[in-house]
Amino acid sequence: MDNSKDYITPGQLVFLIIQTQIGVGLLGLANNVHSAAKGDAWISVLLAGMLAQLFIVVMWCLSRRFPSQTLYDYLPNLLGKYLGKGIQFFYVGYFILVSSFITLQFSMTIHDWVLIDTPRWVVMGMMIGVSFYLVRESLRTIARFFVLVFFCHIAVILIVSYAYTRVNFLYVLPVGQAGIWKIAEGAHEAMNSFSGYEILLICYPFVEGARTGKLRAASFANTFTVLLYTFAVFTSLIVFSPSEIGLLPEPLLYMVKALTFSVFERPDLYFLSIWMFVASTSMMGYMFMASRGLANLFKARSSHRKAVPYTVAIVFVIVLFCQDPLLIDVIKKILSYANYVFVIGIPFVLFMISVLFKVKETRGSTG
Amino acid sequence: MRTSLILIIACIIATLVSGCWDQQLLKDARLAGIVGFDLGSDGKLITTSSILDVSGAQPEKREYSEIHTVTGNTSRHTRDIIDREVSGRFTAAKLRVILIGEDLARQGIYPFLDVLYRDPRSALNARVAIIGGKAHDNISSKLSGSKLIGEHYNRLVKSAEGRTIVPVVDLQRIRPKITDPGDDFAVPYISNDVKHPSINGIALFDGDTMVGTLNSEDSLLYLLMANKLNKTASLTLEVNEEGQQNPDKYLAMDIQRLRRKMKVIVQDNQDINVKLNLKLKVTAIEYANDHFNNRQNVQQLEKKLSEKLTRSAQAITKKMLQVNHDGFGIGRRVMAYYPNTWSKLNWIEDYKKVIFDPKVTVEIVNHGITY
Repeated sequence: MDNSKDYITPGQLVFLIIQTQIGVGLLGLANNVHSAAKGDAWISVLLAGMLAQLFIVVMWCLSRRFPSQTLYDYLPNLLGKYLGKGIQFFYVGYFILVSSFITLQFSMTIHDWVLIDTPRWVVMGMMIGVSFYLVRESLRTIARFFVLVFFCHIAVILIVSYAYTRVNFLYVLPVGQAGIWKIAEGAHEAMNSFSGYEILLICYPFVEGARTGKLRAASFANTFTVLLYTFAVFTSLIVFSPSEIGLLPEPLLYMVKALTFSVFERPDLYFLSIWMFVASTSMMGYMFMASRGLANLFKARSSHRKAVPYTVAIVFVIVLFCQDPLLIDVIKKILSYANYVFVIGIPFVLFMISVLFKVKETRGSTG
Repeated sequence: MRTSLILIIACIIATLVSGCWDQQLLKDARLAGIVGFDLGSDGKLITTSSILDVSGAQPEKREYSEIHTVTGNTSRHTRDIIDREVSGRFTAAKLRVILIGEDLARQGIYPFLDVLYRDPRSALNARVAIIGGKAHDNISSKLSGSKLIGEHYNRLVKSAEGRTIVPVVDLQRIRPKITDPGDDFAVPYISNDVKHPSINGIALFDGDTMVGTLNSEDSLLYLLMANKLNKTASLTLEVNEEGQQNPDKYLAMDIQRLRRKMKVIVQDNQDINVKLNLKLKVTAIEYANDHFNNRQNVQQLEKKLSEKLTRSAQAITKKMLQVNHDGFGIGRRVMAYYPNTWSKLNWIEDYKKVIFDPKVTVEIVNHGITY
């Protein structure tokens, strides 16, 4: 079942986490966070990143007690067979919902910005089709593809940096204008865009090397994400005036659109084409997690591959029926709270149970 | 065999996935190069656009401007009406210039620009300019040169930008300032001359409403005070009253470098003082009286120039206060550095009470190849 192809290096784990974290959320991040934290939105993003780092440590503490098991494997050990399976079912549901949400949000952006007349299902179908093609492969293949896609960020950073020709730093002053509560509220808004590091719970046993190396890899990935997010949000804040940013659902794209290079125009189209890869890798990460869970529901420790077609089918059905923008907002709201439950709530409870009842993986018994 | 089959299938799929819902063929598109907005009777909007028309094959290719003028309620409305007149699909994706008639500008421009901000295909880098009379008259007039009307205005503004007579503005650059209570913008102002339109300084805005103008000399100094020296900037000033001929009285200079220090000081939570120190390093490029080898002479000239420019600067700031144009972003600075004061201010009223203290210092650093 688990053959050598399923193992990845800590280096690949870095990219796996980065790519699952960074996705379509970045485009609207500045707007979302600014709605709560105003000019201090960048502080909120940093704060959210630190919180994510804390969550990563909790996950790592949990995972190191079961070095050769995934979350799905030790859930029944800790909570009993039925409750464990139940929670596992909810995890699968959560991951599927996140994949669907990413697809919906990105197809909406594409629809608004580029392909106005193209039916939505075509765009969504293509995105899901590509993901299907990759997620069927082994974890190692997925990770390698993620490493490739990572280099898209360099292009993105370059395009965004060009906006520094027209900025006004006074927009972020005075620092701390929003007050601590508003900043915290902004961090809550940003939290959702950071999620993706929960892939650590699933991938932990497949990573080669020492456990500290794994924590270092996850932390490094998160740091990169935090820096990129902060950079993007900070740039949006100083390019747009405070009241303008509230009018723009995707400030980052809008900022890029206004730039002109002497050779080509409409850099937002280039940006979106690049971003499509990044958004789909994020979706692939979630689909992988969902498929693994789905496969494990029926047969313990089985590979994710067989479950992929079912996951893809479920996601496609969901996105077909949920195209109403108001419904998408509802999903967004649900996810923003579900995020805490699945990313920190349950892992933390599991960790406490594991410590209090001294449940640990017994060496050599499985695996 | 198998690879070739895959290749064939890939080709077929590739032709299918490209899709045709959103294809926009260039041969069907009619590109507008310049759009003009005017205020019509009973608040209606008159939109004039010039559309590029290319005819003939390569050797004797000729480009024409096709002019359309329509009246409607909103800018989207007029665009739809123009689309009915135009053969092919009207598109503003390659818009270079937006000309706005002064009457309309004095009423507020944001509602009319909204369609351009909202449409993902519109060109946000189009230049914006205000015209003294009606945009319609100027766009529909035949110019003496062979340039297309849109391109003509585009270059007119662009060269003025390079000489620091008008600020570099486009649709996107003015938007943050329209929405920002503590910052205002200015755009090029073009004289009302149908045959020979020329840059005539800048139009000052308060929010999205035009409130006044500055002529070309003042606008140059205004831009220097705003720390926006572009490629070159030259000024001609009177320095001698007693010369026999005109050229004896005047000195022309190129501004080489400038250092601006602006300090906003709030005293007792209410009095806002703005200290604006401008240091100019200039090259004397034309001065018939010579004597640049005499140190005393040079110092005297420098003193004279500094005084003159300081007086002009004072006049400019006075005018800005008068028309409520916060072009240097004083409000933004108060907001940033004195948030407590800002929360107590009503900026529309209180901006007028700001005390400007501009000071210009000129230093002649070069005099060309003769003394």
